[in-house]
Amino acid sequence: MLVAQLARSGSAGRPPSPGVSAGVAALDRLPPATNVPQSVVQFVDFVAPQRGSDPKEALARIRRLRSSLGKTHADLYAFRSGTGAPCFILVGDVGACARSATDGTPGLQWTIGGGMPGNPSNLVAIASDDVAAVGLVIDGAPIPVSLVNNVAFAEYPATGRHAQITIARRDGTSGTVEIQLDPPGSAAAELRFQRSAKRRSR
Amino acid sequence: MLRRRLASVLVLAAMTAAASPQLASAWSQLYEQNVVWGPGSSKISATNSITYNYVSFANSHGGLPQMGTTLCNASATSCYTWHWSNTGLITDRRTISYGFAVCKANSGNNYLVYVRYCETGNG
Repeated sequence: MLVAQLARSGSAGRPPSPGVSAGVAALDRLPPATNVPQSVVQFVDFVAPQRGSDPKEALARIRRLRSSLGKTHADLYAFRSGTGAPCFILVGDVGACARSATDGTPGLQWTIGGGMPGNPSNLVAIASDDVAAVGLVIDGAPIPVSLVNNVAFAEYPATGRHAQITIARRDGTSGTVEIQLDPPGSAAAELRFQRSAKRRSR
Repeated sequence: MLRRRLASVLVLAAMTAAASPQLASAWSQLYEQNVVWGPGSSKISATNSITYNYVSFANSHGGLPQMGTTLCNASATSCYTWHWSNTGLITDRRTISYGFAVCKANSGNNYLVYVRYCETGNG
């Protein structure tokens, strides 16, 4: 079992709500953001039309859910698309915009990995209202995860090879996701081969 | 005098554009679309200055397959660490001054993944 295996434990019998369909209250509770960075505007312009939203309306509804996250002190902005899915971007790093609120892991729409030379990798996720805590284990070592305003965030060394995310729900049930992280060294070797093959075929 | 100065400005602008045709205006490349990938499949873009990479995908064959994005330098001797997700559209907002973008199906996927598109660019 390497990837995308979801396990439930301690369930009272009712399956968990799919994706983040249990709601993301911070997108309603917090005030709309002003002075949004240009890179966020570009993100909204690109993804909003693909998710049934007018970019201008999406920008008017965008919220800054977290500020000064991690080593790069990046801000996280999010809006609810026309399909009901939260679309989010961590400035200068990563963004995601699911097709619908029901997509993905029950309780969590996430990205994991990334980082730059000198900067760690991270877990960035939108958690639904029924999630009480998010756990992260990298190569067997637990990593602290903060969960504030429906955003889960953690940093870990970019050398990590295997991640396990645990989603603990308020009803006492939980789920896990396994991710094979592929360290950057292996990617470079594989892609050098692919690149030389591409050149040979020209 | 004014006309001569205007002409020299136009000549300078034309020379600059000719010297760096790829950087003079925003560039983008749709380097993969509408394919079904098994575990570990990947595709690389052309080389340029890169400020974004979008990867759009769906779990049309079931499960929750994961897709990743990264950027590498032009000689492919160094790549950033992969970003992974199992939901629809992800975007890599890291930048590289001269290199290429990659999208990839996670090697550990247990299901095929439908790749709508991989698109990179700058500007």
